[in-house]
Amino acid sequence: MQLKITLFLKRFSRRLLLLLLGLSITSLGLAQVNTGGKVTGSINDEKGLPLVGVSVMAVNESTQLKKTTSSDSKGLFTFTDLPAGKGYSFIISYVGFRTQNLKNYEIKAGEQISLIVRMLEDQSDLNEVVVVGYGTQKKVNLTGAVATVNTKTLEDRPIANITQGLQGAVPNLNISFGDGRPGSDGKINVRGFTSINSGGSGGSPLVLVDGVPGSINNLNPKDVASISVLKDASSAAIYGARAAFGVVLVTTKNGKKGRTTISYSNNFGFTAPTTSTDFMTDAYDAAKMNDEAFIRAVGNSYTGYTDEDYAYLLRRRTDKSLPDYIIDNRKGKDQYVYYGDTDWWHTIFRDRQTSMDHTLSVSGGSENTDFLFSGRMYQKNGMMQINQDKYKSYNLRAKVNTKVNKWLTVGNNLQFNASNYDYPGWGVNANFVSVSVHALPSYLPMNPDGTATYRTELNNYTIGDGLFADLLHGKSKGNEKEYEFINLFNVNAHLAEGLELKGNYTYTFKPSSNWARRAQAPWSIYPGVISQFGFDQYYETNYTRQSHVVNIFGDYTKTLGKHTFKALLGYNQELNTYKRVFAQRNDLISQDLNDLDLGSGDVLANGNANEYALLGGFFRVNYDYEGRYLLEINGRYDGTSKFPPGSRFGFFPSISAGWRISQEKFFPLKGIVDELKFRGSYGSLGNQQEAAEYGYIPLLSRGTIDYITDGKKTEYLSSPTPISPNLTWERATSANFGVDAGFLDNRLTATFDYYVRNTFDMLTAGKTVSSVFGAASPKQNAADLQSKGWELALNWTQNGSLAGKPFNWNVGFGISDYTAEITRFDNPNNLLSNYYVGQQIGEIWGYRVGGFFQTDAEAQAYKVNQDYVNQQRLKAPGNWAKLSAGDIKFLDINGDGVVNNGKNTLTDHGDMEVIGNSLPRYSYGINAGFNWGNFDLSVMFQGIGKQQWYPGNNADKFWGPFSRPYYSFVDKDFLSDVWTPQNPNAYFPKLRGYEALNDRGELNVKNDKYLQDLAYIRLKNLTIGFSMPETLLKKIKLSKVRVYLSGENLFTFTKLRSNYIDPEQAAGDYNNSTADPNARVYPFSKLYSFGLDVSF
Amino acid sequence: MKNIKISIIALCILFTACKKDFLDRQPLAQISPDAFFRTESDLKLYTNSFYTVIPSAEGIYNEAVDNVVKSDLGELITGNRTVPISGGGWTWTELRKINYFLENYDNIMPAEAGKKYAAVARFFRAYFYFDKVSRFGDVPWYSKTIAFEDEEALSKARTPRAQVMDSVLADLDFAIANADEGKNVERVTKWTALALKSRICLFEGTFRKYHSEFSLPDADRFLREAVSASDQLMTTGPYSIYKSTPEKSYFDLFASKAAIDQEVILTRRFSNGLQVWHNLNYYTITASYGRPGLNKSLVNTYLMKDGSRFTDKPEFNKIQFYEEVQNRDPRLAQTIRTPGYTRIGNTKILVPEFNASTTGYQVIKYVTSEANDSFNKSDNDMPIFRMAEVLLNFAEAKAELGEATQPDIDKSVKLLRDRVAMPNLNIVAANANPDAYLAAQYRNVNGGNKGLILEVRRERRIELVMESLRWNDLMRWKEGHLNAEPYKGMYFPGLGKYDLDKNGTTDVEIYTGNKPTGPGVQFLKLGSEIILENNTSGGNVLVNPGTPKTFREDRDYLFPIPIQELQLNGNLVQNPNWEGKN
Repeated sequence: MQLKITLFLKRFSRRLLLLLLGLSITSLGLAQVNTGGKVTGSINDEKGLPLVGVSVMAVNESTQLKKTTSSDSKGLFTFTDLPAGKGYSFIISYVGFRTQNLKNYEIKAGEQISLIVRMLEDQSDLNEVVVVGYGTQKKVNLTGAVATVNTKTLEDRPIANITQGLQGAVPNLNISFGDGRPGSDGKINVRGFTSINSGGSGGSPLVLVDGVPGSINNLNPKDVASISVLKDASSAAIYGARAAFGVVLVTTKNGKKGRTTISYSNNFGFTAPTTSTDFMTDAYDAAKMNDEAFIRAVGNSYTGYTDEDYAYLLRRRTDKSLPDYIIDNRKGKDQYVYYGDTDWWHTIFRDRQTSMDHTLSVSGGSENTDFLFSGRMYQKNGMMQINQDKYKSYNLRAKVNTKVNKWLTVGNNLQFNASNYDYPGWGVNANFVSVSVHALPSYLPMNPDGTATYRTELNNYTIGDGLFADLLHGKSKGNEKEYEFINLFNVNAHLAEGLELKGNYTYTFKPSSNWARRAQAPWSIYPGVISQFGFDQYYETNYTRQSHVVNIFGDYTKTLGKHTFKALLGYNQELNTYKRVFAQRNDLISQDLNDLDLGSGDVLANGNANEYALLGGFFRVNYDYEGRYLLEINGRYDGTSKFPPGSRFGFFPSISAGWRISQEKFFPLKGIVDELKFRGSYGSLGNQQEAAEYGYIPLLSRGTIDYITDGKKTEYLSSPTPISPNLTWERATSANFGVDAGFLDNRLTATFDYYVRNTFDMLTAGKTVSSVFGAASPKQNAADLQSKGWELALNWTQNGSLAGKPFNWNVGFGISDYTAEITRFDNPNNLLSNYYVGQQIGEIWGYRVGGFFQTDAEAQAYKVNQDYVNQQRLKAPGNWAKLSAGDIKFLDINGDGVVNNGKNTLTDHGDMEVIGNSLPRYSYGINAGFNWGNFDLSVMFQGIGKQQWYPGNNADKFWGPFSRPYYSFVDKDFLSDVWTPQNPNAYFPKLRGYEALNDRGELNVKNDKYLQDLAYIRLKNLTIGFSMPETLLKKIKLSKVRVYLSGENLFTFTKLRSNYIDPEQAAGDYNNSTADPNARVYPFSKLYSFGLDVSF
Repeated sequence: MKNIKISIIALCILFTACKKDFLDRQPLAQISPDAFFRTESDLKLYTNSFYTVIPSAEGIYNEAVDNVVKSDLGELITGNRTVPISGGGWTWTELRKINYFLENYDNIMPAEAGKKYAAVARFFRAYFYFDKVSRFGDVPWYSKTIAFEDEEALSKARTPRAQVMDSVLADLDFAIANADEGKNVERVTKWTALALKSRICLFEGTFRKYHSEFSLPDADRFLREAVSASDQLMTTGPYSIYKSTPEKSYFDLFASKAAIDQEVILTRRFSNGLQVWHNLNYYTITASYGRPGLNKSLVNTYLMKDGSRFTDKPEFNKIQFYEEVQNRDPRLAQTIRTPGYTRIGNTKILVPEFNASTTGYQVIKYVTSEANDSFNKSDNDMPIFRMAEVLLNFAEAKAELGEATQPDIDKSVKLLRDRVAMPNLNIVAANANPDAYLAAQYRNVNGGNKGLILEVRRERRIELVMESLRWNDLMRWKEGHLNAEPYKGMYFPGLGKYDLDKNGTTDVEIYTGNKPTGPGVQFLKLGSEIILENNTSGGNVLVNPGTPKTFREDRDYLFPIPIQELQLNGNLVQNPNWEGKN
């Protein structure tokens, strides 16, 4: 293999050498000296502001003369010496503006022509230049499935990071959030579930920031110039084995030549929950419900309240002048007995939190140098009431490019990102789990003497697990920090006409750390007696990630008559290292200071380190004939250290072609259809990203067990995880068919893509193996998957005027869908406990339900034995164990008289059927923008057409007391949903605790009655802005002043049957399998904000 | 042209800088097997991994069977057992670890130097196979790790039980001969191996004796092995029965923070400092962990303090709690709350609480001070092997062989009786008058030694309650039907107020209709919060009387093999009368 690489590299470099030598012959000499005429001009935009760096080309068809220049900082350009003659035309082009062709000028010797050019913004996106792998491409010439994000829509959104703004922006660019904590990072996915081996996340795309792997969430959103999404194999194949899950290319802004611009913008916002927080706070109802559910499951009361206690609660419901506690002798001791009506949610959490964002950038440039410096500070306060959690992030960027000489440009792009999150309590999401139990409204958060409450002593449970008492004490807390330092140095050599050689080296240093402290907290139940609970522990984890990336590539463009060729050849290598250090100490000598050095108790330390390397050579050839026939061939030869020598390298080629039928002479629809292009592509991609760094080397596993020897937890090494010796690339082939069309002067554009993607040799646990093997089935290239999908994007852009002022508007709609199916998996018995051939990814197996038994007689007469799914009922005390009125009737689908899951195989699955699918279907986004005079308005909706979810067994806000009887946060109107003889058509059955929680309870087994549809539509953003008129701006010498109001997640419609769970939160991470199915995480929020943009 | 030259030179430098081995990255923080097994400490580090199989605290104290009654009876108790799809105890990860060690430990080290670690490995292999055989009967024997491609091994049929158990014996004998001889309560030693051998051989010997349906040979051979292993431990081992005062020593043995290694051979340690806790205190005092309470049938078997039988008293089943627990074997008051009970470090007298105990016989074995009362905050050590069991194994094996002499009893059962100042067990007296109450329970005990065997079983049940040995005892004695007997609790003659500790205040009131009021009283609504045999006419407390319980003699002595395993390996045959094999 080594030999192969060297050979390859040798061949590669020799080719490049030849290429370079050959091309140099054709390079042009210096311009001739002649006497001629002078042409000057000024270029402005629609508002009359000078445009800098606009390319102007003087062409004379008859003499084959071509000269180019560009506008300076005042928007002026000059051709000093154009030979006299007729038939000159001037082609003026600039990214984002319509190209102008001024024809039929005559140059006379010694005379001067002045041109005044007003450039019109290009409203159609067909002429836009799109960033593709290692280069750019005109959108019209694209043959692969590439989508771009209109970054303008991101600019004024009050978002913490870019992913928060990308939802719904591009069809089949799927963004999901696991929780709503401040600064929460979105998970990105392109074209859905495409691999089973990535922990169910379906695969995350390669994200490149300025051509180098980076973290999109750490960027300053205002630094982003463009985002391209490479969806199919042909557009992504240049990234070979890195690109199996698609590629997202983020390009940051450059300084523009001309006057230095200083821009400042800010945003101030406050948030509110997206769901109801109006929980049951009636002390009597909540305690009764709880006790009832508990008694029916366990046999005795939960609260320990006596009948007098209940009578007191009932009296206090109407007479709030009664004290909310008494001191009473219980079990021989005077103690507090609580009769409160505490709203625990709002005792612990806030509904309103503030955020702010300040961004400053300075950019500009001279003839040879451009620069951009930017900085951002973002802060969002969280929802914890005591010691409010706080997220802060900072971004700095310094980017300079300079032209060293005629042919050499060097640049440096340095960025530093930092984020810091401080939170109180026991963990960002753990806080939301702890307090969800045992905090009944009747319990008080604090005793009358100000001490915290913890246990009532009427039972043995701890109120909210003690979270509030701990928060009140304020010593348990944690922090997460992340830093990212990235320096990219790039060289660009213009070797000859059309021949460029580019190289860059990037170093990334990314330390992050987190620490958490648990401290003991005081509490009281016996007046005057204070006890402590909890333990004292501090830990700290430090991670260091570094990477070195080198890219070298050259491209060459040549036009010969109607034929245009482009070629690209390059080399890439990467080295990534990772190190983790963890240390923990118990019993610190200070309650307030948090450092390992303060620990006086037990010490625990561990770590980890690994590294992996990649290298590859790649090429691309483009051919286009008259802009009508387009052909592109890509390929990459890629190697990774993650596989054994011999199977390290893979070659991933692709081909794509396009036919712009609208350019044909015979095209009949000219005038109506301005642009019509058919695209097709086929190619293959590799995947190594999910493979373990050393997955092919048997390694002893190491661990610590709670078995104590010699006063310590016992350390051990154990047998190596079995490995399969011939691991190699997972390979995906994808076929894509697309149509791009423009209608009505390109005001309406449409893009449609259909794809079929086959993932082969997925690296996954192999066949289910007999347990006697004694280990998990080793990872093998053992499975295939096919996914099929489509996406459609429609855009309408209209420029006009209304009431004498310019009125521009645009509406865009994007929708996508896909399904995925297992096409190979070694599971000969088709056990449902593993993947099987023909399985639809996301399918949910469950039982069918025929409503409730309405009478005991009906229940007793039911011939079917449903004990298998009634385990909780059977555990109940006394008569509660009997099948009776109000219980769910399960249907005996296979007619064998018993409800069960048979042998849990595809041939014998008992009474289970596929009742739904958890994959999101019909994801869509709608965005619209309006500009009228100085006002602008944009709206964005985003949603999912269908996605099924069976609430998790701890989904407290859905199941209420049907899971744990003692949940703290129960739907205010929950009781009206519970079956009673008087309420026979209720949603939930007869009340009995633990039915949803414990294995094979009647609500625990998935069934069609409680299967939810998470379909939703959400007003993701609404922004209204006002820009100060130019006349006014000139007086105050500013170039732009704009104020705006912006809101996120303003309203939501969903089919989910709960006002207390956000559908996005329930859907969780991308395909729901890694999410908390209980939605007990930091809640999502809506945000109202206002902001200001100023430039001068 | 200069630019091109520079570029070419730059490129050449770059490409030559690319090392050939750029893609060769070796692990930085993990070790591969060929760099291991080099020193004795490597071997020790590896054998540490075997201790994961030592039962958790819950695996010890959380016993149910017919000893401790909980609100949730569970499938095993009700006989409502089904063939699982997967799992069901058919896990083999530990064996792979052990066999891997035995294959590799002497790669570099001389075998002699590694022998004592091989002894530990083989101890755990015996432990592993004992668990498998006791659950499933015949199981495939593997002495090597299985390669993933090794279809023959993966589809191996069951090895006959006799053959497997002989291999287990060989492992045990190797462990006894080669393990460390030092006394160490945390690690496997020669003594632990002897204790395990005593346990396994008694199990196998009695199983073969009573389960004639399996036609297994050599019952006596195993019983003799049990005798010899126990005897060797009793005579040469550094252990004895812990004794202080009769009213405390039994209780203290389990409530002691650190295991008392005078008696305890192997313990699982817990530690507040290391934040390794178990849940015993919470389990015994809270409402939602099953409300464990001793079964009436067990309480009945505690002898009177003078050695006479409680069950010989007229109408012993109608004696109320206070009277019932007077003058009994002192171990009763050290196992459940009886009048006058106080927590460690507290003088407040407590009565049994029905909201924490289904039967009213609220357990206190292992319970420590109130400081450990929170959820999962107990930190006292849990015994895994202790000398008392070895003595009982010895006495039982001798009795079953028909070779027990009074001196045998004197050096075994008597030591346990002495601890609590109970009279000795007299063989002649026992055999002359076998206890009818016990005989009704243990139906398969016959012959001239019947009385002795019954008495040894009484002693075993009382001494070892909540140590999770009872299930296997019932299985090997072929007395599974005891699981299907109704579980009962305290006797109450009917509705009314009860003073459980006769201190003059009402502790419990059983009522119907409206709930009465009063401080410090446990109000139990008849029919829902408490169920009595004859309803308002009183009787013993019944737990889950509506739940039918069965024990299938033709099926339930062995566990079923999971369906998935039968599908994956066509040569595996399901245990008798369990469905799932097609």
